[in-house]
Amino acid sequence: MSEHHPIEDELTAYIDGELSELDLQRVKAAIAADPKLAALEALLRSTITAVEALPSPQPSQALRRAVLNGLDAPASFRERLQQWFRPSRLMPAVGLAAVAALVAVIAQQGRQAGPLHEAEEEQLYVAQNLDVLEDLELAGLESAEDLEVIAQLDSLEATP
Amino acid sequence: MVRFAWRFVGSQGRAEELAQEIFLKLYRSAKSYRPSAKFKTFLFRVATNHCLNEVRRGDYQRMEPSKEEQHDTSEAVGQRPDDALEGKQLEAAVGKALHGMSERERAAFSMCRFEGMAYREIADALDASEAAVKSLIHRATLQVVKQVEVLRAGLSATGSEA
Repeated sequence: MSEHHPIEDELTAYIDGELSELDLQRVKAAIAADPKLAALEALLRSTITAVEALPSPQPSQALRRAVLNGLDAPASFRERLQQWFRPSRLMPAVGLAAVAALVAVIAQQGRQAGPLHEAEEEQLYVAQNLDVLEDLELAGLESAEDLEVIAQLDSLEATP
Repeated sequence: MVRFAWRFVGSQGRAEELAQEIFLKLYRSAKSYRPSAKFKTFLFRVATNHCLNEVRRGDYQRMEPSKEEQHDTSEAVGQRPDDALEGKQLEAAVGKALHGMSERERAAFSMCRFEGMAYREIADALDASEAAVKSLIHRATLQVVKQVEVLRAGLSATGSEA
């Protein structure tokens, strides 16, 4: 493997059958013309064959039971928090807070302007943001203890 | 999934725990799965991230299987003792090579060699181009070849001494 042949980088893909027809013919021709390349191709091929034939561990009988038990068990609070604090969930929640503030302002203005259908407005607001509200509930944001955990989340994450 | 995780942590017990965690994670985040992505790709993206996070914690500096696991593995390789010995040593060489690989090389190599996934599927799972995957797998395979050559050289030296 002293001199690097440009075709060398294609050899593994060639053996794996991952080349286009054009590249395949190009590599085939190069192998036929260069004994060193042919030797490397043979070495790669025999190694790949041997590695792919290696036995792998079989899952134990207990694994299936453990997975099924885990499905029944509720997620830990930390897992739920981690899930909730992913950007894909956090961002909608921030948006929800902004919308809530906006609704409050509009409602206040509406009160000054005339009678309001507050319950209907609130219901529509809940319906529109049901997913996020469910997440808020899951994260347990009503509990002071949970809020304390959220505040300390970074240091908790760092704790092994 | 156990097989895939095992290639990262080198211990069947921990690989089973990881597989369990991956399945539970999938189950609990089932809502985030979109049928536009092939499930196998989705699964292996979750699994790769989970296994890499586990390895990054630094508890798995040793990729070779334990003695007990080597014994279990060798029994399945062949009937003759010579075959078993060869399988055990090859497994050790693969373990060493895996340990020397980058995270993405290890993931791509495992998906290709042990899960039989096509380059396109691996590219999707790793969020990479097919050309990048081709390069990752080639480099990883060369590392295994190198370790196997070292193993063979060692065996030849031992043989000639005897």
